[in-house]
Amino acid sequence: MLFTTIEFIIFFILVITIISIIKYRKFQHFFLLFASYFFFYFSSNYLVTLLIFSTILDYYIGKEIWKSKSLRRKKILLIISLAGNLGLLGFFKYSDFAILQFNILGNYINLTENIPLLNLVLPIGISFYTFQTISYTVDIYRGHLEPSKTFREFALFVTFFPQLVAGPIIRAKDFLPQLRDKLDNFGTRKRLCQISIHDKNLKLGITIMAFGFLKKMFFADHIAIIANDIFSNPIGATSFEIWLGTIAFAFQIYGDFSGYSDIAIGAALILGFKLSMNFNKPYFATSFSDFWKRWHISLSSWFRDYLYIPLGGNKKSAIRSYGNLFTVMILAGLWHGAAWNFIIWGALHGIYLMILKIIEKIFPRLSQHFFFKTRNGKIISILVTQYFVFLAWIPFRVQGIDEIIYSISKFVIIDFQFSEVIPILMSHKIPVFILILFIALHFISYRKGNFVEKISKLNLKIWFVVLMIISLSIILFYNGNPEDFIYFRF
Amino acid sequence: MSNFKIALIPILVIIITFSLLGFFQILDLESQLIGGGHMLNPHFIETPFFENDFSKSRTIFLLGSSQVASSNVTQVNDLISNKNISIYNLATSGDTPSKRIDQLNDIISSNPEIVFYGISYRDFKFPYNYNISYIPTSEQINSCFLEEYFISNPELLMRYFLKSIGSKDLGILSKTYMKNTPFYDYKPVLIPNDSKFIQNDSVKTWVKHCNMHENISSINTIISEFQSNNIKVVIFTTPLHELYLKSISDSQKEQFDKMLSNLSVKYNVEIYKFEEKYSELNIWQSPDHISYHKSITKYNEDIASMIIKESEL
Repeated sequence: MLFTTIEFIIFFILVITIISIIKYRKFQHFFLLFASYFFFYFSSNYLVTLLIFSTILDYYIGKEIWKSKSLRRKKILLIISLAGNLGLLGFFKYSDFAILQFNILGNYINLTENIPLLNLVLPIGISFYTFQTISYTVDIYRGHLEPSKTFREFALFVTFFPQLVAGPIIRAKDFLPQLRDKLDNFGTRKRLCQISIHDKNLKLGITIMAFGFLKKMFFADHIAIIANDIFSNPIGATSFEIWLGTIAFAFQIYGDFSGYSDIAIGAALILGFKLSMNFNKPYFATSFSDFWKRWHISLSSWFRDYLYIPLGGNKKSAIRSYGNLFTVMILAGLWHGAAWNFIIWGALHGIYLMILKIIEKIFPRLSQHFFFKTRNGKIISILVTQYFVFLAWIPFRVQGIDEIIYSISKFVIIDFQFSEVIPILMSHKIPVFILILFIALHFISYRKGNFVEKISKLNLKIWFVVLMIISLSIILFYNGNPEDFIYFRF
Repeated sequence: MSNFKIALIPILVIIITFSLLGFFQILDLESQLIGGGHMLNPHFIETPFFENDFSKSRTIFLLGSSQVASSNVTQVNDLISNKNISIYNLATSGDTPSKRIDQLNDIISSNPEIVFYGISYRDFKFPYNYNISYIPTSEQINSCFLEEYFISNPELLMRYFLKSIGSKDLGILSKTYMKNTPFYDYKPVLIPNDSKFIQNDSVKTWVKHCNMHENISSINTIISEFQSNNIKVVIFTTPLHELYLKSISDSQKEQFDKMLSNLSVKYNVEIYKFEEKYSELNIWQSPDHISYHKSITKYNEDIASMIIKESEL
């Protein structure tokens, strides 16, 4: 069920209405669980069994790890959990990619037979909920988390529908306590709090969701037209076109994914759950490490906590820490999809981070230089960082190695051919206007802080007008051919 | 109570927005039905076009985009002045062979004697946003077209609506519907000065985005299907203004000509070329549309001659 459909709106209104009517906490949880499974079943059908399998596996392994006194047994249990989760993910997501690479290699060494592809359907959200359940068992193994007290609560943590299919990737230590918030009853007894819809959460949640819809349906879907037109066949395009396509795609994917995250965060907030922020004005990052603190925060922090640090992080030798960075970024690229272009994207970011580390090692005081504290210094840092970030979006978006090489060469080496500037702008008047508007709004939100929260604090009349403007922009300019959420593919 | 008010506001917003959408659609009905003006063509409200009895006379169809709609069939009928022959112009805005293929069965079941298909460069190289129009099939005409089209593209509707604000176009009231041109609605039109064409971006944008192979394959299918149902096919190229012609490169012209000669050889169809014939005359409403102003007769005379020749009148 896509967030941008009428079905979801009806589903969500029904969920909050029923949650408000049910007054018993456990029934609320059961209902939310049922709603979440229904939400998943609606778009994934029988693949819901994978979700159930993953939930059962990690619930019981988590409990066993916690009970176990022997480190060896804990390790074995953890390995079973990892093998189960990563095995499923690997099988469904990477089997065909591996077979294809094997067949290509086989052709080089004159193997006559090719292994047939499995052509498996990628279960929606598997990359997200797998990481979520892995973090649960690893945290218990590390002693950072107590296992969930009930299967019901754990299942709700895994399947909670707002974040189920495309994140943010939540952590059990952040979510489970929210299910067991205490209510101070007459100052003597502590009772577990039922889910209730609070005024403030409702208004802020609706505002966040509205902006999420605006980002996705008004901005990203319109801007996508530019990127799709240019990158469907980039060979022969001028530097101007490649730059325009790259900028358009960078803002399309930002609007698309951060829009989805906003809808998820807003929907969860209405139900009384706080999910962590997933994006924080990433195109104003002043360095590559800063970019990864602002882009898909829940994923980058997952990779940091469950891969980079266990690999040794930056506590080992310099060479080892560069290698760790590169490995993590390659795997982050591969997480996005089983294709070489995602690996190239990850590798580019790995190289950026390694170079940044090397520069920091050679010039340890460079980042503290007064120039970088000035306005001009910040602008230059942002522009340099974003030049490389945008460059890396090219392999992420463009299909085919020849097309990627051509597009990158046109991005890097400007051809100064401007004959196509007017025709391409004229043939994409509305998408270009919307792109400029989105960049301007991105800038305003950077300068003015969290203006979504400010809007949610407006009085009801003005709030109504803002929602009206958002709704009119979305529905009256809905192009009838919506793009899927990009991150659904991952 | 406050919760109730807060919850009520987004619901109210959704209701108002959809009501406005419906209001705009009613206000600007005909604009959104590009290629589907048929639904509002008063001549076909009771009996949809394809449900008419075409067996009473020799039936001839003209097919193509708005460039073909520039031919005034009433005038053509008058010029032919033969009561035993009925000519219908089935042109629709934004037609391409790959879209027209959807209507193939309806056309064949009407059993026309000859089909004249008007094509041009842009039918094989289209800007991305032209694919928003469609040609209605009889199934769509008879089914609930609200579901088929109304809700599907509010953006298109809004763009037309916004465009009409500030213009003297009175929308539905200013349209003319003709009985022999079921799928096209005519606006009153003046003959503009040539200088206006230079501002018109359609000259420059058309070459960039296309699905050439699909359209070539579709026109092959269309001709072959008609011929296998004993319907004679004649191809003609639609007229273009000299500014438009200048924007087409030699290689593109060569490619287009090659495609025409391939069709001619493969299917033994006659090709009439009008694309350069009127390029320097002051009879244009846009660089690729001859004005259908009643004072402009030259194009209609040529269409009439072509029909007379091919139908052996």
